[in-house]
Amino acid sequence: MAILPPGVTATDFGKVLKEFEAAVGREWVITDPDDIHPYRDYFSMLKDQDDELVPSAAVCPASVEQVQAVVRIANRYKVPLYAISTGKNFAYGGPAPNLRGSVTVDLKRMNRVLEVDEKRHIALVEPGVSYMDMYRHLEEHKLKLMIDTADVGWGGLMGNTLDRGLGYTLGPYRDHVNASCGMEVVLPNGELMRTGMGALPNSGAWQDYRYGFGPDPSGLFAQGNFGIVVKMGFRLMPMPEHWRTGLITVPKRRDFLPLVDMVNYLTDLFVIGEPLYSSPLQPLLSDAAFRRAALDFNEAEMDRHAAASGRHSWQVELQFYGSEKTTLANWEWAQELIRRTVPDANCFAGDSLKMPVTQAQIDAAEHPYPAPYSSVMRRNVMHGVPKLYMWRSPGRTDDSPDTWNETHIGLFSVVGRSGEAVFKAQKDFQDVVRRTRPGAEYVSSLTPPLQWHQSAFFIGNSFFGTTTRNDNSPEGKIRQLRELRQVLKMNAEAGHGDYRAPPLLQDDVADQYSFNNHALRRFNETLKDAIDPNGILSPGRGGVWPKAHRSRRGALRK
Amino acid sequence: MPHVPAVLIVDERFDAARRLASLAAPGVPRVALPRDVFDLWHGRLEEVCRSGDRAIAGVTTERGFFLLQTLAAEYRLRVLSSSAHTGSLVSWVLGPG
Repeated sequence: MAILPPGVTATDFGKVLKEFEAAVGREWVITDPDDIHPYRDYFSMLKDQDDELVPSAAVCPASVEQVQAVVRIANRYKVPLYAISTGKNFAYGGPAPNLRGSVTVDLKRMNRVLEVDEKRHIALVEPGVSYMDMYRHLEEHKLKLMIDTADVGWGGLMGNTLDRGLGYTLGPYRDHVNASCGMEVVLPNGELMRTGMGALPNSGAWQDYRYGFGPDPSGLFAQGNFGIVVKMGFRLMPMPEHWRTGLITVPKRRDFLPLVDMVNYLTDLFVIGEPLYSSPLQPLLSDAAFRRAALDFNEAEMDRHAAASGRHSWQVELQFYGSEKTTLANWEWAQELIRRTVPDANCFAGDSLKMPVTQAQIDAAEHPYPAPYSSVMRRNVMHGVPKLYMWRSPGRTDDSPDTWNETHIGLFSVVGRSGEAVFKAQKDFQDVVRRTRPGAEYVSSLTPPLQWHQSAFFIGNSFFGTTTRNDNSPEGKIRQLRELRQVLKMNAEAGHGDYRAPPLLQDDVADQYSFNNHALRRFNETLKDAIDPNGILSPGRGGVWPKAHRSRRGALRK
Repeated sequence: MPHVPAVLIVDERFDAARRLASLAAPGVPRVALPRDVFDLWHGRLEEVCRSGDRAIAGVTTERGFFLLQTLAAEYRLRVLSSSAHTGSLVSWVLGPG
């Protein structure tokens, strides 16, 4: 037993493990370091160091009653728990807990699809159901429903949702929290609670109406630590008859503003799915004169280079779900809308496919548009098809086999959904790079926003990237960690907050949201202390520390 | 080798992987690592791992190793051995501890 939960003696922890074994079965209490290994963050910046966020043990309950038993035992001995569904969220810490020595509650054995109603477009699942599982369930039962999947299909519907994961189809579905409807939760005292209509005994509308009556606490469980969610309802998108794409390009840098306005309009009328913005000017960065103009945000000069090269400055791929006729009418409407404000916009028809599409259609090598294209991965997820592609980011790459990136972190700032806000963020992020790495050259003026969420943009500072680079030595990783913390602080000073973070950086991101002397965090921690007085559930998750462990806030800052 | 692997997964894009594979586990059924592991995992490997008493082996890149190691861990398969080779390749065996 190499690691103990904080504040728990070896003797007591031995008793805890025995009681866990009695509750879930001996083979499902995991203490051997070789078996604990998968519960670490494979890409941690603190890997193999004394303060790496590793659990002391893992316990795998198979039922709600077993989860309740585990929670009650933990409460008696004040053992911190950290619950995971599939624990595959590797850009955000994977299965690693916020507090070293926590006991991981691995819910993978609870992996039943409890209900799918094809006519009401709803499902009820257990925590261990992955996107792959759900997709296969729909396929096997020939149900005309779609999932909105995470990038890698081994993610869990529930875990991704509780981390506020996002997707790629229509807005109400790709905001996974928004698509959830009804939860069953084991509270820190072991009691079972249902939210929404689930609180009404014998209700037949649990997955239809999420609110029920009175305050709805379901939001507390996303990026929170107020309970262990053991069932969750979802609204699923009905399989449309047809899918169509179209690409719109606009010639000048400032045309981005009316382009965003038009896309927002169609988005909020629920006419289009996730739009994909990009800039066709990326290849011009090899031209020193253009690069200089892009670095200086010299818009007139950038426009001059764009015109001279015959390229447009921005483009957006739109996707339409519906019937063949409605998707065509909506695509024609989108063209009409953009030409009202940008008369010299170009419009290219893309795919027009009967749904569900075949894998061969998804993999079709012939692209209907000018570059840059949607990736094959994106073409899959737009159709709710989960994949297990070998990752491009972490690890050695085929193109550069001697480059080994050992760390992998997703950091994306929330940006207002307007062209002006994107332009400001581009300048802010370039300024952050200039201040963090004096002398470094980073062109951010072509960085497009990501619209995973219906009503907000996300922008990653790609200089620091989702995969951090450079020095893989322990000291090098610590330097990268410090640098990222500095970046998060600077982002906040410019008004940009991150939407997700791995446990290692959650205190730093929580620090960004500091209005009125951290009134939000103080409110959350007041609730936490009332609901979880022993502070046993996921201490530190979302930056919320219970009184018992509050002194540990920021303790990992080196 | 305490556990004879039920299958040997080879990243056949690399000549070196094919060579290493033929040396490492002659006679073991060989399967090419596809770009997307979804069908291979659900169609073949998951069943092997679920059995709890069989090993799988491979010669892949680090990324392929990570992917399969993570999937196999769901069934408590451990890394029994792994060796890095030049050209980004790793030969490995996953099996019950």
